[in-house]
Amino acid sequence: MSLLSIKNLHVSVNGNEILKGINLEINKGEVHAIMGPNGSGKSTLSYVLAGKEGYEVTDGDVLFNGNSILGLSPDQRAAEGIFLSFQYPVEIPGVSNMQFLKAALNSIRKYKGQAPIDASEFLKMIKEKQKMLDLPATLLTRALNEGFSGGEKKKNEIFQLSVLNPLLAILDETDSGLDVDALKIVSTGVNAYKTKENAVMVITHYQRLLDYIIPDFVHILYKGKIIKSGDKTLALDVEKRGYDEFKQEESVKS
Amino acid sequence: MSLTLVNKSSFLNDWLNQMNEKVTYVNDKALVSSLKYIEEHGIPDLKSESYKYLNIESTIKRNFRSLTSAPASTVNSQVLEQYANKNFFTILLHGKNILHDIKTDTVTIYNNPQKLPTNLSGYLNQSNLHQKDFFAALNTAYCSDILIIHITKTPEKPIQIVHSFEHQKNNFHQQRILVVTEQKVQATIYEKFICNNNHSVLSNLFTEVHADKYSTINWISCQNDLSNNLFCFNNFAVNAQHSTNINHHLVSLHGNLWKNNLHFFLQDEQIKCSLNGLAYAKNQTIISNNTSIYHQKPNSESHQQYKNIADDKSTIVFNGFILVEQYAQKTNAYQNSKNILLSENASVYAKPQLEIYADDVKCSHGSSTGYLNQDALFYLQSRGISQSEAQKLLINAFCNEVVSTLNNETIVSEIESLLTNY
Repeated sequence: MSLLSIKNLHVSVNGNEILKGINLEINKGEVHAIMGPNGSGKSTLSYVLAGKEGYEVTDGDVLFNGNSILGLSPDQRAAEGIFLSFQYPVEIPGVSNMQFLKAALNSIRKYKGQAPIDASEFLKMIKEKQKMLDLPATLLTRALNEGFSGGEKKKNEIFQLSVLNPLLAILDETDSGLDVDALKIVSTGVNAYKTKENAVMVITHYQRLLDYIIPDFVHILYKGKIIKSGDKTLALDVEKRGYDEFKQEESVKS
Repeated sequence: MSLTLVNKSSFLNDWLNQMNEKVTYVNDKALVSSLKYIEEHGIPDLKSESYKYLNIESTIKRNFRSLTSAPASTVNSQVLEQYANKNFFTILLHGKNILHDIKTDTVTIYNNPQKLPTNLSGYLNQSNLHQKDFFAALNTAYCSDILIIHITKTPEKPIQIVHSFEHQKNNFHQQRILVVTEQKVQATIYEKFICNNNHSVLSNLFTEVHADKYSTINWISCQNDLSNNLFCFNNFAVNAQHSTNINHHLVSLHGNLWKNNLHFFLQDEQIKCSLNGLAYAKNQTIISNNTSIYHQKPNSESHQQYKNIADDKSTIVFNGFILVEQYAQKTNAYQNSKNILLSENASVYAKPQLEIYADDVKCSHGSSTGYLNQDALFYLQSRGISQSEAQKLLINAFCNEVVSTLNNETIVSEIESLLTNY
């Protein structure tokens, strides 16, 4: 059974159909990269999976561990093991990073019927992950994402990923706005998270990130459909030749 | 002194007729002008700017069969212990009883209207509110109960004023308070209200504060009536002298009606005045706050931050008035109100009003009203936090911006626990 199974997914936003029949299977242990030109529906796909309001599924289904998640609220999906690393993490004044992370972790534990995490165990884990991601300790006590630099925000997303340890990580353009050093650190974080028991979906414009997070499969999303799938060499093709060729192939087909 | 109103509502006539106590501590001039104001203006109606969204007469008629301020029975002095707290000096205003546990030479309490030192009672009515506001006039003309707190040196502890309306049969209370601080005094006054009644109670409170040179006054008014039976009209005025620091906090939660008119007269230079307000209304509570800052001399500053959250069918009004007089150059005056609506049936009316007659000043105002940030809610939810929990986190963060400006631990923890259990 696939971890994530997207079947003929059609999604509309304000009456405009953005996703027009997506089919995708992701198994545990796999890394999938979704590439595609601007406006092809990449971010929509990530929001639909995370359960954001305003994205109407008009047809198809999404199964996670064999069960449809379309009826679940965003927090229930998170508790089931879906994590979205935001392209633009939201700044939340007044809620400290630590307080937030502990609330999130304990909510998920509660959903699973586990007791709240022990305070010292929590601190130990936080310290360990913080070190790995080279995250300044002050960011932990500051308000969530407030006044963080672009790089700090993205690092903070991966920090949350490593603490919450979900089954599926969806990384929505995590590489945008990162310099090479930050890119390396973020990738190290993702690779440290990755095991045979979980999966990663990387949404990106550039091959660059895929040098560090090596995909098993690459899919090209165009006009709301996956028009081509392949292995990691497909990403190199895109980098070399752009999307035009794939677009033309698609228009010939249709 | 009595008053027969011509052309005024019979309701007001009946109300005034049962107020037959003698006011002995107010001078004749103030008495006459108060009565004149009442006669000329009557109960404020919807046309009155500061009571615009409150239909007072019909609200009172609906909730009170008749208003009675019959003398209450004397309470046992042990009652004070229920309200006392070792971290504070406590003054309990219970019906017509005034009890306190102040035994220090830094603070003196006067509550016998016949025996007020004239040097202190001279500070009464300096704010002139009795010529500007119906409830202030009503209090001035008809309230026989006075409390004067004279702070001569920095008190050892904050002073807690408890307005208790518990176990009282009468449903109409008036109280007059005057606080006078001497030079360089630093005082914290923490005011709270306890109603816990099964009948409606109308309270008309009028407080004036005279802050002498170089003094600091931290005034915290915590308005929370769990019984939702209290209708409170609160006129509050500070006369601030040279180099004073005035920090005012207003936290309004449960209750039926909280009507606060806050006036700050910056009568001299180098005054720092900071106002922080948090109104969080649920059910059908009405919280209406009017603030007025009068910059009368140069080189003073005022900062106002008001945060309002309206849930259910509640109504919150914020009117922030700033006057900078012609000679008050180099004034800094800032005002901000942020409002959150949690329900489609809740209302918020926020209005800044600046009148600036000086030409070398820095003044700003801002006001925003909206729902909770949906992107922030989704972000928190996407990490596993339930919608209601996420909403709580965001509301707490919003409230905390006001609570965090308080600098007394006991008061902070009391208010935090009110908010947690809200």
